[in-house]
Amino acid sequence: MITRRLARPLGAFTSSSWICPSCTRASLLQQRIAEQRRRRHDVPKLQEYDQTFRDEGVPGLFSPTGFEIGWKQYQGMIVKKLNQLTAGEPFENDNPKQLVTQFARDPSAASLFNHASMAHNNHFFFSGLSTSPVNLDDLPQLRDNLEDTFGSIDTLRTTMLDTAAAMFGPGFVWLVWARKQGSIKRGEWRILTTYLAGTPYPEAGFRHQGIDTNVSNAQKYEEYMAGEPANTVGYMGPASKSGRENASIPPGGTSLMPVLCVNTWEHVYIYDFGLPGKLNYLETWWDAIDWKVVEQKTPQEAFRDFEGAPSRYGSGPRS
Amino acid sequence: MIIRSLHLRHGRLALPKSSTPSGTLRRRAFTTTPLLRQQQQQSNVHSHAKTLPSEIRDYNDPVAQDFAFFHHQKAHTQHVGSSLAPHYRSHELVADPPRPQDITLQLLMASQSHIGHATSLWHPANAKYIFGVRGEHDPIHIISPDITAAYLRRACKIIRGVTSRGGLVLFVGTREGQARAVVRAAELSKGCHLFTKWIAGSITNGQQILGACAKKVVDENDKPIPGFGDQLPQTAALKPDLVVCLNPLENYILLHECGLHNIPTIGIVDTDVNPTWLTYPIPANDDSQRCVQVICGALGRAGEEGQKMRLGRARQGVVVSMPSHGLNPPTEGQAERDLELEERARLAEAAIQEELMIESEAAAAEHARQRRSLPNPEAQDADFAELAALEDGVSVDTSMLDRSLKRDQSDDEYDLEEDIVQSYQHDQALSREELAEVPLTADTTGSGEASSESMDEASRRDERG
Repeated sequence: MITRRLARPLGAFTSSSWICPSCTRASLLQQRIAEQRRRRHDVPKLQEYDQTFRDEGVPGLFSPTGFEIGWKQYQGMIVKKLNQLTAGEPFENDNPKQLVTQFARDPSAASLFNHASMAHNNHFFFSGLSTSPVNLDDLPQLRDNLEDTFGSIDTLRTTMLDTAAAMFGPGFVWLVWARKQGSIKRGEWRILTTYLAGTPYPEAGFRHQGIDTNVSNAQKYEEYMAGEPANTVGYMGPASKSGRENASIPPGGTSLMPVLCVNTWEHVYIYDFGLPGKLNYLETWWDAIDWKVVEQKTPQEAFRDFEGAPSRYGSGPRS
Repeated sequence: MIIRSLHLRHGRLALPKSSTPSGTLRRRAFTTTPLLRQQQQQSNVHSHAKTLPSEIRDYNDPVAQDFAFFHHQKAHTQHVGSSLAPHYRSHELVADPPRPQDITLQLLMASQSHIGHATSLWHPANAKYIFGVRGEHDPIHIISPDITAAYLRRACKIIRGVTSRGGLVLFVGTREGQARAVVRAAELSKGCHLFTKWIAGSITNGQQILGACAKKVVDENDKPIPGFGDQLPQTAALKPDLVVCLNPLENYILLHECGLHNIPTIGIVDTDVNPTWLTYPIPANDDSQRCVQVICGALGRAGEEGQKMRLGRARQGVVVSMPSHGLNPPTEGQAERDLELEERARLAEAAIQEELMIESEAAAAEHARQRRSLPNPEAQDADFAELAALEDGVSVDTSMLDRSLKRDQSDDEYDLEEDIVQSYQHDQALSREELAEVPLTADTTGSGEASSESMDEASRRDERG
């Protein structure tokens, strides 16, 4: 007797909805169902410039096609993957920053972290651009503040652009206001680099670690891991109230506010500047920065020298 | 539609408060937070509307700086990356309740308002609200969401009508988890709330139970009018003009009292509740907290609308309600007397608060001192006695400890130290004269010299004699 091997499984001829277990995986099926639900994440609108950027590109920086590659296509791809990764999960309604903070140290959620962080960083980069950028010279308070730290705006520019140019491989270069714990100055300006999809936020670092393992022994670490104390002891230290609050920030880490970033991923500048045109792209980007947005993102305490001292400019632009 | 209308409104506080201005310590009543916030806004110099909430008073405080930084970072990084589709957030039902216009069948279904009780537990009188039965093994009744929506909208209209005519609404929700919704709804409707047990007789026996509650008379713009201080203690206790009950099954007494006094009632009627207990039932699920918060929120919003309408009309001088307060016009000089009494009460309250603050500061100082473990001179003896009993305790006066230990030792051992001490004490007990007579061999003490002199005298006497 000749047995014919069917090209399609027998199940295809029946009208029942049963599929054999080897042909499906519960998670895949759930995800497929969940995807068909309403999308949670969507590509964000770039304020009021969205349509203008699509039609005319970013003035002085990207052509319409270049903008489409760097924003519409790339961000759309990232957000789509983000929807797939979060569909049906308990964190499906969390915004990208929350996902970044939660999953930075979770190796099994590396893909989720990468996509959330890239979505966040890329949007941050494009939100610093506009159709009519405000020059830094028109914002004397911010300019003087930056000159205090960097000596001159030219130094700031050179440092940032050289750092970005020297980075081998894709990433971001950030200008951040980093807070200092327990010092007379509230914080300082810093330039920070993150590679690939790295995040600048220290909250994504060593979470819930209230002791420094460099200065404690195995027994102390075990005790710390074993349980939380019932009452807060002392003013400082891992068991104290301030210690437990600071446990969300890594030891030596600070809480910081990014105000500006440049995207050094190649797909962003390759269409308009070519692969060897990285430095040209960076210089063009510097001239296209909207410093008004930077000033809005700067925290109020950056405009004060130190605790208790009144601002040199009186009450400041926003106080 | 039964509406009780008032022109001059009674005071709204439901908590018993001493009607006398001086004397008893007043309980911390439910403070009006909107007024406080307004005052803070006026005094606040540094306020940026976009990034910083306006409740900070001292911007130079480090805690205020941290707060400002946290909120600034949150505002500028929270929504960066993707735009999230609108989704259910449970706290919003109380913080920002849905308006009557926002009630949709989808919202009611998502809030599980259609889920009734087991079919065997139903009350047949609410058969017309039930869509059908679900389940084969444990069948439950399903309440029609469209009927829920219709009755809820009707109830909203009732509340709006009552509040726009200056009526007082009482929101009652005595089950666990209903407190926040009830308080919020009362806040929006400028009414009263109750989330603990209803004291039976609060309406029928009001003069006994709520007789101590202070009352005030306000005009159409809700400004208090002085001059009725002599009449108000004689007036009847406050009664609500409308009662909203979120769990009628547990509040039969309240609803019965309302019925006796012709007070209309609104309530959530589940499949096992008798709908005749309420004037305006809302067929819905009373066991789901989300459903209760949606319904209570919508009713609160309707009350807020009515209040807005009333105050808007009042500002233009239009009043749409008939007076039925039974008060006579104020007598000569009564207004001044009332204001004086109020001022005195305010000063008394301030004095009490100051006393409490001083007490709490002293307690804090005491606590801080104990933590630093400085010795307290008053309790020193007791402390040291305790310390002496501890192994590691350091006691200053060890002689007592040693002596107590030595008493435990056997009697055979000779205590040289004890002997010396006792003999010393014995010596101390002797008088100086007696000491002088005692012959001593060689010592440099005063008594010794005296005795040596006497010895010389004695020897001379011997030599002579």
